[in-house]
Amino acid sequence: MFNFNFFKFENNFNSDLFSSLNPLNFFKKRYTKDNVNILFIDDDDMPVVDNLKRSGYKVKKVRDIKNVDDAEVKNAQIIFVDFDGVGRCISPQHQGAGLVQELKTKYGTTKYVVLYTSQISLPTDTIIKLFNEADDRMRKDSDVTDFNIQIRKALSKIK
Amino acid sequence: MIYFQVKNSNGNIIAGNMHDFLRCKEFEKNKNYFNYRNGEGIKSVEENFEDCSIWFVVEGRDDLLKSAKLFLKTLNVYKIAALDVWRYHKTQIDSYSHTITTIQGQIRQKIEGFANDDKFYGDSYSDSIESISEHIKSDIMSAADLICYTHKRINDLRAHLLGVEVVHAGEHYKVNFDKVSLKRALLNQCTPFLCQFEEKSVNLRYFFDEKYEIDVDKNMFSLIMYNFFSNAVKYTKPNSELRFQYKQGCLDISMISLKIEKSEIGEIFNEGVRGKHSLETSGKGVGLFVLKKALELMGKDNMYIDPEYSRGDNEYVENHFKFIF
Repeated sequence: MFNFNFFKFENNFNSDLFSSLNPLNFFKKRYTKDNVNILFIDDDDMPVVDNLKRSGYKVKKVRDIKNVDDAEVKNAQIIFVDFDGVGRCISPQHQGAGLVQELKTKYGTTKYVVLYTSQISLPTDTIIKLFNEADDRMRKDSDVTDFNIQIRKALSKIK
Repeated sequence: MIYFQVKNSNGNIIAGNMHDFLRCKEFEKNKNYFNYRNGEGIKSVEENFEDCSIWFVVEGRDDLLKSAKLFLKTLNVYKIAALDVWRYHKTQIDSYSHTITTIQGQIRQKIEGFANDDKFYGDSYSDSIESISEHIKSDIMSAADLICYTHKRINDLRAHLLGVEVVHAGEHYKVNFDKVSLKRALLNQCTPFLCQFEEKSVNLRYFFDEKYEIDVDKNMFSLIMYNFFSNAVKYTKPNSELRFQYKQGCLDISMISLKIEKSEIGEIFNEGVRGKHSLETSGKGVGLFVLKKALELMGKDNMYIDPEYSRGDNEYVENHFKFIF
């Protein structure tokens, strides 16, 4: 008797390598430069936001958010978070790092979150652990090329 | 005699007096050592922590060398003090480098937005100049925006560097007094902040003319006003006014801004202290501290927030900041 296990068949195509062959993924939204929304959460001025807009990305910047359910957060697929000076309402002690943890807890792999900083060293083991909760981290003074690379990486990972 | 040395994880010496220990080089190779005989002795201990190490030597101290308990107590005191010194220095270094890294990043990103790196390439410096000149001609408004932006960031950098100098080495700063027009000096200092005031629709109004002169150190005055305007931009209510009045030697700057509780008025000039209503806005509680330090250096530290206006339950009140110049 022919016995075909559809469940096992589908699971074979869940890894990143074969995900495009997974029938369930045929109907999942694919994010590209044209339809991805990028959010910067930073209390400082970030000229790279304008540079990315000129490159054709849809980018928004807010000084801070009060809640991980805020509309700007919900609408964004890639979120860049400053380590210092944001997230006070959500994580008064750990600020940006704590905010990242809350974002990843709430949204999992549906949002790609990058934590950036200008600090040369991280103060405590707790902060290092929170840094590792982000999908990636980078230097705040990186140039637009580095941000572009990060965005392309994010586009391949957002589920 | 007690000697100690604190090193960071890179092996750089942060603090200590070990250079006074004559046998320092001899003990470098073996820092954990004890020898006590006929009333003469030496004990050396090294302990490693997460991001620093402490080396502790006691020489010729009978009481410490005879009593292990006393030695441990003394070592612990040095450990705690040394760790605190190390953490304080580390925080200062982090904060210092964080600000400079951020500002240079902002300038770099802004330049990048105006012209890619390849616009600066050339076989010679004059070729580079030629290339950039052509680019400027093609987009003069963006070039002007870049210059204004860089001007603001250079002001930020200058204020940061001066602030560090005032806080950590103020006693070495030589004050030079000059007579300046108060109004012109204020206009000069607030120019870099005009863009931010405009974004919040805050108008600046002067109720005195340029004839009034004051004696100030220009660097300290610019530092004072930089820190003042940095705070004003953050805490002033949108769609309001900043008013400058000068009468009988007193500059009164009033604004509708976040309420400062009467109990906080004296405290918020201390390092790291922020008013309770400001905690949702970013800040480190350093601006007013530096402002006060700069005033003290000039010998004009009678600046105060008039407590008469800190009344009511509104989030925003009319605050009056009075400087006696």
